[in-house]
Amino acid sequence: MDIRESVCLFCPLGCDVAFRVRGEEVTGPEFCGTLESHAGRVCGRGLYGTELLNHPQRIATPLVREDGRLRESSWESALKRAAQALKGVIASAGASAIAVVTDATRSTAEIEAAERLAAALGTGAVSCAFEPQDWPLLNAGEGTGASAIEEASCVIVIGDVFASHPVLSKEIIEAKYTARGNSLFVLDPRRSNTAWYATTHLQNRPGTEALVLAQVLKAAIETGKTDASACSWVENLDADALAVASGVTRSDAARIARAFVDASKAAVVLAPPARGMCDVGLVAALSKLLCEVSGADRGFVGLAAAGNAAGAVGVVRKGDWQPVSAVVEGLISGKYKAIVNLDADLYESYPSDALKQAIEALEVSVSVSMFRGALEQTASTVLAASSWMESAGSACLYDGRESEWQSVGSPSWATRPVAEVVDALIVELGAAGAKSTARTTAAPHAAVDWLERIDAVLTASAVPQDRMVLVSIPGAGQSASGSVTGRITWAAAMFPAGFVEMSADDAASVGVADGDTVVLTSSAATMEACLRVTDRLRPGVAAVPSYDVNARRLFDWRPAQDDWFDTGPALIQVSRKLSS
Amino acid sequence: MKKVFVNMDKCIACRTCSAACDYSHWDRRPTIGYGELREDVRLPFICRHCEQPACLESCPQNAIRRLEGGQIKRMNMLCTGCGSCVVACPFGVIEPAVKSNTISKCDLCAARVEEGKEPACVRACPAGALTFEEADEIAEKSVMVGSSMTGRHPFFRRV
Repeated sequence: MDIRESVCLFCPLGCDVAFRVRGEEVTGPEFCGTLESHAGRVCGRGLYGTELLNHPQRIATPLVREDGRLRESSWESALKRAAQALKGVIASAGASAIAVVTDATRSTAEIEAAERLAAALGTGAVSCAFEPQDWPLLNAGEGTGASAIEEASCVIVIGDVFASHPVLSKEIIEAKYTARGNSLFVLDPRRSNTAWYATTHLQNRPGTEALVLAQVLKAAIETGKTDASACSWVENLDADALAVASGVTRSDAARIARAFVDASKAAVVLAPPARGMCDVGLVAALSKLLCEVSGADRGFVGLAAAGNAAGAVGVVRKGDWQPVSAVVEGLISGKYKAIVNLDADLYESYPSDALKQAIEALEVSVSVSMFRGALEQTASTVLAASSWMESAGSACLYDGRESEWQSVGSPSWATRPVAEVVDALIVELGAAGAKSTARTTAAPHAAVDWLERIDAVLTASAVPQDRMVLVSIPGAGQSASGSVTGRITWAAAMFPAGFVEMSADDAASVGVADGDTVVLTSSAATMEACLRVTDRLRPGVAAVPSYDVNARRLFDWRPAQDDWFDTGPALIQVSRKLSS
Repeated sequence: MKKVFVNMDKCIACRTCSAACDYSHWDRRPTIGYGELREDVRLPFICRHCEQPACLESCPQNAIRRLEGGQIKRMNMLCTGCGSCVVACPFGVIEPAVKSNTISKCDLCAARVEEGKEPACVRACPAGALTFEEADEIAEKSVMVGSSMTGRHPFFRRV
């Protein structure tokens, strides 16, 4: 019995995980005290490895569609079929009609393979699927590691970190208890488990985090203890208007500012939800600015959702990649006739009826995947991918650290690593397969026009009277859209989907009670959900789990700012379900 | 005897302890449960390995025994799954197992402890809220919660 180590890529904390291995078979997780990252502590997601590797729903062999049904095939035959189909599309519609999409939860080498494949096909449409909040967060610049939180006497947490990144909770709670008088401020529209630990919980209106931070920044400058030269623009802010729009009073903002400026060591931890925070890039930039002007020993910790989001951004910046929102839009408009999917779950991440129809209408779709998602249901060829743990790889973590791992065992059944499949496909295509050279460098956010962007958030935060604001909430045992973790028995039981949270006042005004079925209608979709009445939310706010694919349909997945998805909340109407 | 203690000041209700128990004992349900009495009052339910265990006294097959180390263990080959211990446990931490004729009962990860390791739930806890310590050591540095109710000191808070 061996013990082999790997890395969990369900979030960018990159916790070390260990497995008991008999021969080449992973038999169970091992709980080691010797692991380097976070001293071997993991959350529920870190324990999924064994179940993921041996999951009964895994695609075990390549599948090709014959007479409308997917049938098992050999690798040689499936690769040949895939290459022929793609060549056919190139001949009829040109290479630009093919899109290649990969995912940010894969190792850096596997993400780079997408670029190789796009070069071999001759298409410029290569893209990487991110959670909506990851791209603007990482574009705002790098953050520091958990060392910024250790022994900090003031920590500002934005979002539900204990649910989205549970392993960081130890550092945050210990920082609060290190000395009497230490403060932990939590900024979240929902009274989450993170907020329960706060010395002060600021229950802002959804989407207004940038406005609260602007208030805090203005108050920090007004203390006279900060470097005001870097942000003279704050003088033009109307603090009263920001307070009214955000629901956080000026005195509360001033209290945070004083605590942050006076602290010997302080940190801002930002873990945005999938949807519910307007202009995540601005929130990250304001957090960093607050740290910069407040003196030394101030750290910003930015927490993306996908495990290798930082590594993927690094790869994307070096080449000429398209935002995934553009690819989704291209699929819907019929620009792309074929897609090569490298373990991304496009529909589950950005679900809409239009995208589903577009996927069904594709002439050719080749999917390299671990599980059967919406794309695989209609794919012409499905190639069985192995997990990231079944081959050696590396990823870039939230603090910029490179994490490398070795394979915990040979790939299960007849699966193959994504990079290996891509190389085999390139050989079948008969292309050179050389790595494409860097063409352009996508610039990170240019100089921020602070006032303009704050004004935009202020405008977006206005809610019509007959509407409720819908935000998404993470679950400690689920990751991203839940397309993988939702298949894990334990996660599905402990963190179920299909519900909507609402305050008792709102439930009474709609005329429904806890456990009733309600109908949620947004501009994008209509769905039914089970009502959970809660006192965690203010009246006028509803929340759905971010790992619920059905609920994600309520959000609009169209390109908005910077050609990227809007990260703000949605507006919905809630009604009783009329009995048939 | 060392027991698992929950520091209620640190538990973030992420339920990783339950997952760790589930994944380290494939043959049965997790024996560390999770309760949410109200939205603000939540706690992991763990076996207290009582000094006078009702489960042991109720078992007609003598299948629940105290080991030398003090742990209360269910003997696999003797248990018929009658469920007497499930009813007898005043804390509701014993459950009928998924498989018939068995029950789920925390054994404090006896095999791991023999190797000098901590129980899986303690090792995995991301918040460091679970500890595996002697009751006396805990008593010295903490305020017990609910001690008058249980007499077994399962939870503690920092002073």
